[in-house]
Amino acid sequence: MEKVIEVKNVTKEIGNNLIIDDVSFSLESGKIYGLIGANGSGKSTLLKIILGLYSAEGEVIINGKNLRSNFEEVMSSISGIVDYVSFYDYLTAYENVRYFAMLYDVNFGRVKEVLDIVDLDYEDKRPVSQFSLGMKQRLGLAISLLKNPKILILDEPMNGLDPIGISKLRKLLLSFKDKTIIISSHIISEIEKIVDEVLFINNKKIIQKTIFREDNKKPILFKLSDYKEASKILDTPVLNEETSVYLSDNEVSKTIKEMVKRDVEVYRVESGTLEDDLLKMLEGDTNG
Amino acid sequence: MGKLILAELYKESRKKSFKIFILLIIFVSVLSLILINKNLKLESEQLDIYPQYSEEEYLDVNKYGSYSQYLKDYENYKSYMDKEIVKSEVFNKTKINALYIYYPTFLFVIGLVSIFISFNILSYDYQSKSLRYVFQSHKGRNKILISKVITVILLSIFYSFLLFLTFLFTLCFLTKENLLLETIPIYLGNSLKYVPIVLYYLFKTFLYIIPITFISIFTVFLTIFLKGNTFALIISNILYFCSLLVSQILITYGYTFIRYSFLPYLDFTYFENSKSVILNNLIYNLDLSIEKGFIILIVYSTLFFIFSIKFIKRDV
Repeated sequence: MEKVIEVKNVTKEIGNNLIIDDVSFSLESGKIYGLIGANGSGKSTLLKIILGLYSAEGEVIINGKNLRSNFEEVMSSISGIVDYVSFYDYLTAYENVRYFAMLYDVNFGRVKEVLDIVDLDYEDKRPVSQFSLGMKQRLGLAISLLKNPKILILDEPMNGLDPIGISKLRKLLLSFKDKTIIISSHIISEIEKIVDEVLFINNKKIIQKTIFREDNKKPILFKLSDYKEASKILDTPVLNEETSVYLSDNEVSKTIKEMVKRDVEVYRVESGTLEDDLLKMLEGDTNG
Repeated sequence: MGKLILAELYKESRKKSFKIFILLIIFVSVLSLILINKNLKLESEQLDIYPQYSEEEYLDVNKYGSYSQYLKDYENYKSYMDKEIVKSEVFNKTKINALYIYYPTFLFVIGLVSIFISFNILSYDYQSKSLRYVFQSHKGRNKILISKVITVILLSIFYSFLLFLTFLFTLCFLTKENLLLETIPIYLGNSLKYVPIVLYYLFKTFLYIIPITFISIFTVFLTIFLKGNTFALIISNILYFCSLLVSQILITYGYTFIRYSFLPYLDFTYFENSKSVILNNLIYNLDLSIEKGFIILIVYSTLFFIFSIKFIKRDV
């Protein structure tokens, strides 16, 4: 599949704090990626770097073009929601989106379209100051969709949304078949429902994992003696003694046999979740 | 670029402050003119040529100055004052001229409106974090900054001309005279000429837009530098209000290098009283003039604009 985002050796320091350390990964077209990590792990920083809002060492390549040297061309195809934004609270939703349509050089016809997509009334005369948090999140999404971007970056888009809102957003994101989406959220169970792959950000590094949705595969949690060797067998990066991978029942027994063959002691095997995986990683980080 | 400016104008024109400033400019200037007109006594100012100092007297006033330079400048002063005396005899004879004397003070106040707009056009984006959406425009930060600065200048011009038109119509109404037919005496070269009052004050309006443009760019720079902090607004206001006073104090203490800074040129009303400008230049061996102010303000505006471009590239 075509690579739409390539992050190469990106390092970011803010003040004297190293936030992201030599991170590299690549993302493919048409997939939904979840970005998961603890508070302060650098999720928002990484997304801001990809959106060109933060400068950083290293390279960000979007659709084969360097973000820094081809800013104008690259920014036409990427858009996103970053952090909580209150927008111009004296303007209505329509006026806010119209202002950004002028800024992004987008046809005014698109204003009504994006407001319809996020279920906001374009004839609503209320200023944004009277909007709920959820409505403001949807307004942010409408503005992000203005450019009809190929890449959509959503930092905590579920914040402030009620269960119905979360469900609507999930359906909306799954309907964007042609877009590459990176979504960061603390609600891991929600992320798990929509993403194809997960990017764990931990200890200033990224680990990329694929989630298999086929019925016969489920997350399996392993506790192992030699995680470096296990990495090779599982064909996925393993950072500590506990990890989870998506395997079918048949693959579980094959994997255990392979581990025994290569002298990797298997202490425990059980059905796990993405949340378990993250918690184990964070535990490992806290323990040193 | 045109679309970016239109976008900024669209956003700014929907602010409550935009409408409030329009009403305030019209209301305050009309009310002031009515009050001044009621209490106005037409009196010609008595202009005298002040006597030449002896070296001892001169050094008593300006211990840092050069007496030989003073003597050279005194001749220029005398010939200038001869003209001023002739001009002043005719200038205040009409009520319109007398009322129009207050116009520059009102133009100076427009600078305060511009400071507010310049601060607000960026501080709101910083505080609400909407800058993170603005900078996702493929146009790039430089073009966005330029469009914001141009918008501030356009709005300042709009408010200045609103003031001009308010003065024009209010004075026509108060004096019951057609201002288009009135003239004003000014020296062009060596001869006293009469130019239409409307043209003269239209030119003055353009002239005052120069310090207003400078202070707007300076406020934009400070707002970017302080990331939308209210201190930017406070510093700009203090600087604009106190620039002349600070300059005068520094000059009195011999810090004449201040003439190379923007401080003596922020308040163009200082140059309305030609006599005091000439006297100050004479006594303190200075060369302050509107022409020099024009160049210095353009240089500093460019400088602060370059700084703004540098700082707007920081992480948001």
